[in-house]
Amino acid sequence: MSQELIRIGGAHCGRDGSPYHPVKGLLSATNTALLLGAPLFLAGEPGCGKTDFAWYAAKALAQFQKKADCEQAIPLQCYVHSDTRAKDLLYHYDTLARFADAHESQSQKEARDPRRYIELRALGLALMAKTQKVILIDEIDKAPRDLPNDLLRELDQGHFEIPDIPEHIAGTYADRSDPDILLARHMIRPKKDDGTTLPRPLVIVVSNAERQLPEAFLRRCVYFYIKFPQKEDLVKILWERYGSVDGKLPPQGTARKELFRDAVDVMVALRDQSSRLSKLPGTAELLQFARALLTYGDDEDFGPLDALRKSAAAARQGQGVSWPDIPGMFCLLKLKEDYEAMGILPKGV
Amino acid sequence: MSLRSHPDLLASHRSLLDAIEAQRVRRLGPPELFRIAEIVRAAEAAGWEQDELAESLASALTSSQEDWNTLHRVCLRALATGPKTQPELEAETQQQAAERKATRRREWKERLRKYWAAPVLVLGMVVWLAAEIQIARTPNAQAEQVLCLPKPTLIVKVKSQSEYRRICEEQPPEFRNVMIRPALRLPTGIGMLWLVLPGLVLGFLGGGLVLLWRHLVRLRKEAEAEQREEERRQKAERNEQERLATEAVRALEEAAKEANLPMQSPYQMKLEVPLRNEDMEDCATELGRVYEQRKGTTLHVERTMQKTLQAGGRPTPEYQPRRVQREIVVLLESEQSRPYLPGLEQVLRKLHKLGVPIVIYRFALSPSELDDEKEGKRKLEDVLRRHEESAVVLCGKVQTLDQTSKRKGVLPWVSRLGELPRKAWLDPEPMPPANRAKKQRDEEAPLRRVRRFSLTGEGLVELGRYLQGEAGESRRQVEWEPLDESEEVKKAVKLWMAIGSQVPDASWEQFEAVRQRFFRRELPDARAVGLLVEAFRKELGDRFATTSRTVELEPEEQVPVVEYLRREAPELYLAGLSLFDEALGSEPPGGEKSKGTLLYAEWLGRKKRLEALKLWQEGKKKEARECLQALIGTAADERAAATMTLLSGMAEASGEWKPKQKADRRLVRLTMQTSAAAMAVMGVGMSPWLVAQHVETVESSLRPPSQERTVNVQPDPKCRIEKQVSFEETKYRPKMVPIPKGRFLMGSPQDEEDRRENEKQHWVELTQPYVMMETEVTQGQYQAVMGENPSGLTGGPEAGQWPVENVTWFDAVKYANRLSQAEGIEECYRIVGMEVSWEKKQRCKGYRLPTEAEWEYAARAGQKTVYAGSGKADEVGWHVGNSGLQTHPVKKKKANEWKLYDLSGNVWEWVWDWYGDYQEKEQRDPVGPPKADASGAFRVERGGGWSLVAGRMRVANRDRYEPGDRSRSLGFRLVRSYP
Repeated sequence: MSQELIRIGGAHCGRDGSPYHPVKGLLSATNTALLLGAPLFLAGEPGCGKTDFAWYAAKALAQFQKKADCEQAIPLQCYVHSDTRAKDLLYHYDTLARFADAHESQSQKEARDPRRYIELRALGLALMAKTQKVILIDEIDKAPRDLPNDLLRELDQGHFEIPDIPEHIAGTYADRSDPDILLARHMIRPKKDDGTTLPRPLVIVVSNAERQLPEAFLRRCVYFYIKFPQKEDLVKILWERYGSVDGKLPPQGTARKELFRDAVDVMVALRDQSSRLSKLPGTAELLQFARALLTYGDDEDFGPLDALRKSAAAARQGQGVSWPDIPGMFCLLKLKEDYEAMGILPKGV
Repeated sequence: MSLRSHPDLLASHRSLLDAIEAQRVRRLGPPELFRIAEIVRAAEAAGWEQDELAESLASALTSSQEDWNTLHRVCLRALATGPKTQPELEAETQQQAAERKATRRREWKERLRKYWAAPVLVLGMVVWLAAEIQIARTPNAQAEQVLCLPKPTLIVKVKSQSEYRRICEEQPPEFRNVMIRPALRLPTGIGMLWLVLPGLVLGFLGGGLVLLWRHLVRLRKEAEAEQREEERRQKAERNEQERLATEAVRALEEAAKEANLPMQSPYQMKLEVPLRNEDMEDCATELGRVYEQRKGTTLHVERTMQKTLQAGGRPTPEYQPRRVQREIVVLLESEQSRPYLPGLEQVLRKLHKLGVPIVIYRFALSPSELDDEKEGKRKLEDVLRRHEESAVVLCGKVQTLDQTSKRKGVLPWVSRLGELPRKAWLDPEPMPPANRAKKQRDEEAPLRRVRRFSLTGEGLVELGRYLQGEAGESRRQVEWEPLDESEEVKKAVKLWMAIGSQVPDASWEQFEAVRQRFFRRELPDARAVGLLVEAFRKELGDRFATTSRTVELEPEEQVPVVEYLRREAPELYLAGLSLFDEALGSEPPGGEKSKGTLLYAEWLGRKKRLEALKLWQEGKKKEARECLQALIGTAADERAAATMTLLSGMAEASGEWKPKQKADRRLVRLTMQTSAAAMAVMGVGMSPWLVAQHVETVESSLRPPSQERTVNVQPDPKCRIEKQVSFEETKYRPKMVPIPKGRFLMGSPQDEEDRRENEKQHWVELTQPYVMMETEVTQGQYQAVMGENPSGLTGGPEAGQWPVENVTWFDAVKYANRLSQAEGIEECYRIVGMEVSWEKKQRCKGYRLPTEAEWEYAARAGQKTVYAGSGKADEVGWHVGNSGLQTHPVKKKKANEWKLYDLSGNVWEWVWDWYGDYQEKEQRDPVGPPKADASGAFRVERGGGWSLVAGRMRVANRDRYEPGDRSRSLGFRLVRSYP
């Protein structure tokens, strides 16, 4: 292959602008996906940063492409719903608008061209773009089973068809969101300016691992499971995010880091009770928990911070933790039965 | 880029590919190989780290977290070792071959150590057989009609009348078929040893065995006493341990109850869905299409147009219906179907994972009352109301008939189920309904309205189609093919059962996991459980029930099964252990924190059991026991004790456990081996002895009486008492040797050295068997009968044994008559002065001189040797060359074939015949020419003597002498004929 091997990496930010640290192995998997031109299938617990990685990848890819404003790059996004079909990811045909236009006399003429009512969606845009893009297909497991199967051809071959456009139609019509793309019945992938094939977009497919996707689809993907971060990583995440944020307690520096460590220890101890809990707290819950501690740590209503310290120390030594005493549990547990299991609420009330 | 551009790349990473393939995470087809090649190439071009490459490969080839971890680990390991070079591979192969060889050698050594008695025995037999064959092949060994002499006439010294003897009537002689075999020629002097040796060995052995036996008995008694003592002690100890263990368990139980700890099975069996992936996918897709229609939000263009037109241009939007997936309610029977449950649950779980909205309710036998995991018991009606639009699938065996209430008949739930619009029955039992027992068929009959599907891949797909309701009734009925019950399958089932018995209480999940891991080839799918159930039913009888979650064999029952596994498939034994060990995990469930809980004790007990069984197989029996001993008296006591029982059972089965018994067994084995060896030695040693014995027997039966004993005289009509002849019969009574009748060529061939003209060859037939004196008449014999000794050469230590000489022909016939008289038999010659007549010729039964033909016939003894018994003169006879010019005691030289001595040499021997030329024509029983024909009045003398050259000793040589003359080199010997 004459082309340079694509390899992304470096320090970039996630969705909300805070630094994103890809876990070990994730970059290898991404580079493999880029190398093979295969979709990258990311699985993992909720809140472990699967979706965020798309932003990181978009920025890293932009940096690799030596774009000036690489930190501004964002991935194209598809959000999948329970009734999403493969077509919905490629383009949208606004039948209602065309119907309405056809009845308005001044716009009747325009309504004759169906292309006016067609708008490419993220996947269509990514496939037809002149530069290599990152596209995120989020929560694919929500969709009916037919969706991944129907996507196989588009992901494999890169071109697709818009049957709503008649075979022969006069003139050209550019897509609304990307004027470089001309709409036609057969959408063919563009070439590079020098005539060589354009590398395929990096398709990041995200699933919550609750359900298994069709084997045929999985075979074509590069797979990576993002493990839940280790304690140290969690403290680092908290520190990066809230290290310098204003808060009442404790003020700054090591004391604050200590507080984060305690919070993480309590959360991990809670996660160890997996056999008794229905829903485990994730990173998102931890962030809420830490933020709440920082802001309301010394409020009387909130609860004593000492209890948190004691519980964390107990958890570190492998002793039993007295859950009802810990302040801010409402950030970590979201189900009534979990409160019952932890003894915070009496059973069967 | 094609795969072809990568052959070298792939070849150089063969070990990596092998490692990946060995994991069976995914079959390596061309797309996968292409991916690997692409990645490896990129890694080499960009100089990736090994870890990075491993991560990359794992990501590209797997689709689950577990597989990813496994493959990552495997790739790292394969990359770390690097590709193997050719010499390395060769060295490895060689090493393996050497190891195999060493193992084989060790095995043979061990076998030889244990069973050396067998080859010794066989060797002994072979030697014996060879000896027998050798004897049978000897030329003389042929059946001959041989004269058997009458029962020996007893010569009896009468106590009171010592001068009388008792002569019993002779019984007529008879002919018998006797196998005459020459004795094995043993080196002189050893003969006695051969007779003595077996006797010695026997005596020695007998003594040894008696001692050994007594030792054995004493040992056993001691061992028994010790064992009883030991048992008593152990029992007391065991009781104490059990008490401790019960206390520990009780304490833990209470603790567990207080802390509300879960009590789950410590095994985490990794199960696969027992059906093909493609079928599962298809079924999931089909079931995913079980929709219900709801009002949608998308515009239906065509219909909107139509409606708008119909409405005269007023926009009338019409929406496409929205399809919503229906839930599939599964009613899962979970007691009777237990053996099939693991597979069934895997299928359901997989379907759920594949996105089929499944809700499971469990029940026992009859689904009228269902078990909701969250809300406890619920009525069928409530559940159906809650899932109004759902499809209902019934799984398992069911009870449709009401057998308890007074009003017998079909249970109400059956008809309720029948009313549902979408319902099906998924039957996990592999047997088609037609083959089931009648009772079961009756039970299932009322379910006719619910369509039945078998738990096969096709069955599931059909189920999916059926529930969509589009095709109406499902098109076909899919059944399991019957499993071919070959020997291989039977053996696999037996081994399957045995592997399950390695854990104390194998669950059906474990059995299924074992099948998936080890018997994929022989028992390809889940229907094999049917065979296993049958096998258990046979093994356990009524005690076996499919309703329990586990199959529990008593330790005693496990012994033969596990022993069988250990013997038949040691590799499966170990593999099974590691499978269960894997399932137990290296950490107790719940991690270190669970230490001191009941679950931990259970986990530990099982873990140690596997460890002990493994150590046992490795031959570390002591360690195995120690590892269990540590658990005795703790909460894991029960498991440890059961395992101990299993181990000792196995030890007993293979004869290794108790040291006392071991000693006994060794002694028994020693005894057996000693006897075997002794028998072999005796066999080898006694074989020639027995042969010799046999020949002796034949010979002695042919010999004239030679015993003497003292008896009290009893009046016997057959006996008469005569006056004793006063000579020492016992000592000097001549020994006679039987000579069979026969035909022979008398005289010598033309080319014989020293041949004389008078030895013209001609045929002679002797029709009368006779006996001949073993030796020339000795001086002792002569003296005893005649009362004088005319010999010229007397003296020496064996005075009586020298041949008599210096006797005339007349002395010889006189001696013959006197001897006959002494023995009380017929005298052959009538002697009147110088006239001697032999009237009855060969019919006379008394002692007489042999005819010339009889002499030569006996001397030749069927051989063609020049001298009597040998071709070498010095071997058989005294002649001028070796005699020192004197006679020698008889029997000092070798006998001829018929055991006659000194025929050649020592002294010449008188025969009956007058001397004359031979006649050419064949003759029968010749007695020589009449006196008138004889040239001069010479009698023939034969056999040569001490004073002449060896050439005169030839058997054919003849000489003449005047009957009245005597010479110091002329003696004689006598014969007797038997009619």
